[in-house]
Amino acid sequence: MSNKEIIKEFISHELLHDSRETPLNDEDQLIELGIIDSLGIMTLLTFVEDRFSLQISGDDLIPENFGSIAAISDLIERQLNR
Amino acid sequence: MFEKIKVIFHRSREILTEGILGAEIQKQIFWNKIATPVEMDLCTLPPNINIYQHTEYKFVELKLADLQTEKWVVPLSSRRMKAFQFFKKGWRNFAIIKDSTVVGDVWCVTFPRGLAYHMHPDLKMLGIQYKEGEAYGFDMLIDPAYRGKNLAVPLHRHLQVSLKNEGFTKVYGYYWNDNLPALWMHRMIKFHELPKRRVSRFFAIIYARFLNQTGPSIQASQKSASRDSSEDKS
Repeated sequence: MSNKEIIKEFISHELLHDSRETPLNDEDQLIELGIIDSLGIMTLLTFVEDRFSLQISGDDLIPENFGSIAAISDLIERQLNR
Repeated sequence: MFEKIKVIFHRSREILTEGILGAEIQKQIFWNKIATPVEMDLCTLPPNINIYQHTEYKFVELKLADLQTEKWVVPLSSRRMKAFQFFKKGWRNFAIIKDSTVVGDVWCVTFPRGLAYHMHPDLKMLGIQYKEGEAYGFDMLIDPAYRGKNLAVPLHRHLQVSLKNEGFTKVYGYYWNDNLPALWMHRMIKFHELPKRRVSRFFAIIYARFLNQTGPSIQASQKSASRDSSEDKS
């Protein structure tokens, strides 16, 4: 399972409150769609740090890094390669 | 003075009822807590910004008369009493209404109207010296039953758009670095972050100084603690 699939599955199960007819795409704008709000970011951050055993610093907590599944996956890749 | 005592009494009762005494004490007594002051140039607000897409909610500026006539209901009694105090200081309140009930609100001090009455004490703590045409937004609260519905951002936008339409040019605010939801909300709104402040507090005694550090550092252990205080402070 790729990082994107892991994130997509988590968001679909834990953060999607409405029943979407179409599944999430990698480039869907999660913030504009209201999926990652101020509470959602906490849930997601805790999951990402636990699942991938990494620490996201405050400097990386910016909307650009969490705007889409692809962006989150890129952030994880960068963190893992540090 | 009597009104202030009444607010403290009602708030104490709510704190005991809700079982959040420990959290409240931590807000009054702390050491070396990091605050990030922020500012938003209202000229940078997108012209076509649409904050009123939540059609089931009304976005209003709450007036003293609205409270006196009970046009809108403020569920928390301490919050309602505090509102009377704040209105007397010349401070302004922007709110989200659902079915005649205030489900979220944020306060602001505007210059020169606010200055004519009371300068907000946070400004000294934050090292902010604001000028004519600027405002300070503070004390945002979303009803716990309505958290997680993406109301914090449109509420802040409501305040900003309203002030911009009146000719204001800048809004200040702040968040505590250990309050992840507040940090995230301010970054979603794209506030510009100002030099951080290291703050110590013992009830009314507050000591603050600048902190030479880039970016907040959030420890995992603090996340669960800040979950309870989500969306309640800007």
